[in-house]
Amino acid sequence: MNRMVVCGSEEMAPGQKRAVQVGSRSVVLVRLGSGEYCALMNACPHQGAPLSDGELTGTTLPSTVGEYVYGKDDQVLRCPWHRWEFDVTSGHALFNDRRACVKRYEVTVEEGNVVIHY
Amino acid sequence: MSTLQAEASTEGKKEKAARFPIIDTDVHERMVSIEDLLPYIKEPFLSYMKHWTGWGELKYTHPIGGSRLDSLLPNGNVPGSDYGVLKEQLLDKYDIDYAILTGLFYPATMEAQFELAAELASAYNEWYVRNWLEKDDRFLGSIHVAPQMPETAVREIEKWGDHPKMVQVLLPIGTAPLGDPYYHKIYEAAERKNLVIGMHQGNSVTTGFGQPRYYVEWHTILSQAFMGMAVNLILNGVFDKYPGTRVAMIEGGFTWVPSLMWRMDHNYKSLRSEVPWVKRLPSEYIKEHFRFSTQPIEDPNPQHMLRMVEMMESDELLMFSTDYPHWDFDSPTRSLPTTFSAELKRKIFYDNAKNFYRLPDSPKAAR
Repeated sequence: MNRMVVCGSEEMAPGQKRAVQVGSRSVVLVRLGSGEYCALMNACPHQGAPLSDGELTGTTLPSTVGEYVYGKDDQVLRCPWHRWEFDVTSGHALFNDRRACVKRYEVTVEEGNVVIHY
Repeated sequence: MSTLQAEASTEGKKEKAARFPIIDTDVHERMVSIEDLLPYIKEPFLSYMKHWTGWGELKYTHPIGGSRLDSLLPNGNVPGSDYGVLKEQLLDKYDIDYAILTGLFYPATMEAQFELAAELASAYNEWYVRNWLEKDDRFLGSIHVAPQMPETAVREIEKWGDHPKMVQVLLPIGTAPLGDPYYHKIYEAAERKNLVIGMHQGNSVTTGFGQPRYYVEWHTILSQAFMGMAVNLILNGVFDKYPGTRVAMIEGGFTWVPSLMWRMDHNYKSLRSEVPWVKRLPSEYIKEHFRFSTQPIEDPNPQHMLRMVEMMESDELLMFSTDYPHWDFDSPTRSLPTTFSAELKRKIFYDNAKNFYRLPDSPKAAR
């Protein structure tokens, strides 16, 4: 497995995202509210839009009729085109279809650097 | 390479070019604001515009935003209002041969003050011909009219019908049964000027039970209004009276077409005597006089989608569209099902629209 330093560990504030080039692929790097990092392939599995152009947000969680429960703050990446929602910690879409999934990359923080393993 | 450079190069990468020439049959140019039209609005309506609040027709606040997030403009102007961005994100990126402009301005759906509607449609044509249509060789145009007063629509069709880049008259889906004989002079004028009738949904489309509670419901079932209009046009005899009439149904879906043809033929066989001016099986009018834009294409099992085209009994009924810059944009490189053959894709991307709109080959396609 390859590894690549993509930025300093304090370059990004919690709640931010950015596109980074890792080898031949574009990856979207996300910093969660907790300060941890997640990385996903930077392409929506639907029509290929770069997820880094989307919005990092929270969303409504499954609930009963007429009830809105908002959660997953800064943990949901919404595609810039059709707004498919992906949980950045798993890469899974928030609708129930296992085929809609974005590849995840392992991210570590080592000696003040963010490292993506690919 | 720094991170920022990496980001720039990723975003600047050109999308893999499609292998086919492309006619995009639904591209939404926008005004920055209604102020753009003021130079073209005459009194007494110019005075009305001091009090303009829009006609507030969309009944919903969009839950996720109506445009592609990457089409939002840095200066805060509405997406689709900047030619340079549209050119970069659509025309150049996907190497589009022709883009048919459909606007996003619907005085045609106003339910009152029809003289004002006609003035606004007329002003919009004046504005967008200068500021959009004539700006790029790839643009083709739609004539905006107020069908509420058909004689004003005819005047507008006569005014712009000979413009070399105008290819259709734009009528709204969902506010009135436009097959009614009251509107027939519009079809007569369009036929005379060799123009397609483009029908695009307006924001005031309702459904069989009126206004559904949620936007997602509305957006799913607004196809009902397109079905209703197709039936209305055919059974009110538009195509028997004006056999040169061609109707492009834009952004209303197409997977309903087979069942509508079956159901309409089924009913017609028993009830023909009520509409004796309709001389042929209704499905034949669909195949001859209608075309359907592809966006927003549904994504079922790709085999099923291919069978859906087979059930239409024609590979000439579909025309590709992106709906740029809207949230449900379809990418030229990623939206058509993998089961579609190269021959079928070429027809959908290019041949069907070229033939229907009677366009000359684009310089690229002719190579």
